[in-house]
Amino acid sequence: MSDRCVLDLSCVTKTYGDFTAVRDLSFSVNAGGITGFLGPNGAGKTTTLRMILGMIAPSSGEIRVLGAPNALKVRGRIGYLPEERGLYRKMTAAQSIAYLAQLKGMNGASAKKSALNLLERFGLKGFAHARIEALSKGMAQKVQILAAIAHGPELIILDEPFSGLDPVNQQVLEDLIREMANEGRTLIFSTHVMQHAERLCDRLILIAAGEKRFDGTLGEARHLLPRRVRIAGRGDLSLFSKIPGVVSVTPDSDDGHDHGAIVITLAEGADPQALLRAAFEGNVALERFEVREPSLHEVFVALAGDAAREAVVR
Amino acid sequence: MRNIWLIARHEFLLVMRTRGFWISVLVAPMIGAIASLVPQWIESAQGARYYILIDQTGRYGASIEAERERGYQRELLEALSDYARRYVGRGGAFMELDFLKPIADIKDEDVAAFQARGLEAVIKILAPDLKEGAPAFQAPERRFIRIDAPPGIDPGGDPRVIGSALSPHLMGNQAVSGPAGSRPSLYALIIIPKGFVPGVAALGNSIQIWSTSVAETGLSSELRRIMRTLAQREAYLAQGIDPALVAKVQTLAIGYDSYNPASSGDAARSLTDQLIQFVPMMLSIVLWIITFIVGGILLTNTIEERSNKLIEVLLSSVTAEELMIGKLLGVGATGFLILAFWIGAGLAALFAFNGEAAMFGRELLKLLFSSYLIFAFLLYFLASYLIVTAVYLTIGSIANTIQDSQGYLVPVSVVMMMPVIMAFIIQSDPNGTVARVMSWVPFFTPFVMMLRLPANPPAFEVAGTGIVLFLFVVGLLFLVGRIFRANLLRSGQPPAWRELLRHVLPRS
Repeated sequence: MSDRCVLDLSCVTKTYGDFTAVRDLSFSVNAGGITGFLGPNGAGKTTTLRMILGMIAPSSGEIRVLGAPNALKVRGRIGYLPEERGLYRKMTAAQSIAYLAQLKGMNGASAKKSALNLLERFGLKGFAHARIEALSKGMAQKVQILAAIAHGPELIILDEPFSGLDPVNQQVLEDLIREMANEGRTLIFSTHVMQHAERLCDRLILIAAGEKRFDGTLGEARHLLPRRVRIAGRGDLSLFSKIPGVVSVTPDSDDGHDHGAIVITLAEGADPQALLRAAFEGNVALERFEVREPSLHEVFVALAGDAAREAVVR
Repeated sequence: MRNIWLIARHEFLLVMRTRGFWISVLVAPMIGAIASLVPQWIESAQGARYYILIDQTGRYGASIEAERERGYQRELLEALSDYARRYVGRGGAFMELDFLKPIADIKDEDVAAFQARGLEAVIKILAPDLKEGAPAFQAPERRFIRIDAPPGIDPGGDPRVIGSALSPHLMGNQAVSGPAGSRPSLYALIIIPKGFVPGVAALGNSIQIWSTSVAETGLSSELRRIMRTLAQREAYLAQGIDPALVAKVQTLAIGYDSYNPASSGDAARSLTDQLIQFVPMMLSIVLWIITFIVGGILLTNTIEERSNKLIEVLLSSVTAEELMIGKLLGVGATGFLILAFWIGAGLAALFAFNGEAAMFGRELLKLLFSSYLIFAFLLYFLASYLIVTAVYLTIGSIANTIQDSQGYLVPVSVVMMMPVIMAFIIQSDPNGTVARVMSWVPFFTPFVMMLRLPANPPAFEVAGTGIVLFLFVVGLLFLVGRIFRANLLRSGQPPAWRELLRHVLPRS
């Protein structure tokens, strides 16, 4: 584990009776940046995060967080936002944030000050002394997010942070996540909404059925799937199937034109320009030529689709 | 340690912010106060009640009235003594009026001396020594006043005819009036028939008491007591015994000193000695109520934390053990607060009401703080609190909703009710088999031993049950800690009994 490594999981397995929730999972996260922890429902994301946070013990394997064998020993340096949110209904927003910050090691006065500062910064100053039960769901969620970061943690773990937030608040949270990353904090967030991961993450870890399926950057993830080219135009479109590097040619059912439209799947390393040259040489009057990188959504479905379907059936 | 303190403080404040808590705290003493005061209010609101006494023998009527008057004069003297102790400075009046003394010390000759002086005269003597702002003396109201039979009733007629004729009055269909104004019904009709002979019970010759108040005991028991004295006097006189001697014999003052071998063994039983029987009963009931109020709060809070997933945030900051201990301490502190509040409120009420009650209050305080009882109580309170709350905490950690928890609470409540149901048996025979056996069951030890302590149970039982209780509490907390930790993050169906057992048993 290097000095810059804030989290290291080594061969971690968690079983409940006969069921294996997480199997032989290993990865490490270096300081700084945003890591997306992806996976379909029931993939073992929350179990993994709970093990990282020391709430449950792994059945086997080792976890080191900020150099400590148990996250509770360094809890003051970790912030956590669970997937399902809740606060004490009878406490005010400021009290809730301050109490949870105190449990993370802050003293009473600093916790209170930090709570009020954050509430002001995120537009909730007027609700600082309102009871949680009097806040809207969105506001309460914001309060909980603030409670997770009020003590200024180095490592912030967010479990499905965007769920339940409206588009405006999702944007606010995205900005906050970027801001915290810019401050040099390390963020890990789990999600199954790929757009957020695409926009935010420097690195992705994908698990399915309790096992790691991918660990790398967004670019690396996209390279896992072949590139596709959408072509529409008049002329003989069958000529593309004979060009080297073309794996398959299928009709493009999404195209609304009344002329021919196809989707070409390229082999790894094949150059889309060869298709363009062939179109000119074959007198195809092009109306569309679109090289498409595979989306993270497609990568996700390709890597975890089987496990997700099994989970649904189960 | 800091986390335990933070959680305990948080739990304490959380309970303080709960309206239900304050309702429980305030309602219980209010119910107690209402239960003890309402009958008195009803009694005084009803005012004096009327009765008719028809003495066909002509021998007892006047004597009965004289005896009843003497009883009233005693009540008057008691009230006046109490009044004097509160509002009259310790001056000459007390020296002169030596019949003004504590209720327990008032004797028949004091009543006679008072009666000879008369109320008005006594008040006049007291007047110069009255403290500033003292209210005027309020004489207690007479509870029963004799009135004459209404016109048209033949007092010498057949008792059954008289009874039938007065039935409309007795049943409230016809109002009656007397010195205290009109009343909707006649309270009682007493007929001493012509053929009445004391000691000879012949059909139709017994004293008849007609009343619709089935539960009435005040007037009839007074009548029975007076009639017994009168009949005895009649019998003595018939034997030719000197009337002065008879009067002297009948008013012989009997001194009673109670001894309790369990307390000092050689000293007369004081008020403190009597209180020592009553206080443990009261304390064990208080103990029982408080542990249940507090246990309920703990249960609801834990279920709330689990159902709204707060528990996950907490467990990222503290261990399950810290959370459990913090909760037990924080909510436990509210229990002690209730206890202090109730004892304080009770004593304040005793001091506020009147002089006699204040004396009682002082004795109570003396007892509480001079004997081992308060220490025993605090220890048993702690043990009982830990047992009940540990059980409730287990239920809170496995039930997802309050509805879920009901299924577990029923058997627990039945077990917990046992000592309350058995309290009477235990108190009447504190060293009997039932009490001794129940003392060894840790669930019951605190309640049962509190009731038994005044009867000085054998030292080995006190120590033995105490050790068993201590070990049980430690073991229980350890097991509950395991269940608590294993179930806090669980969602979905509550675990089956077999699964719970697996959490409790050591891992193989």
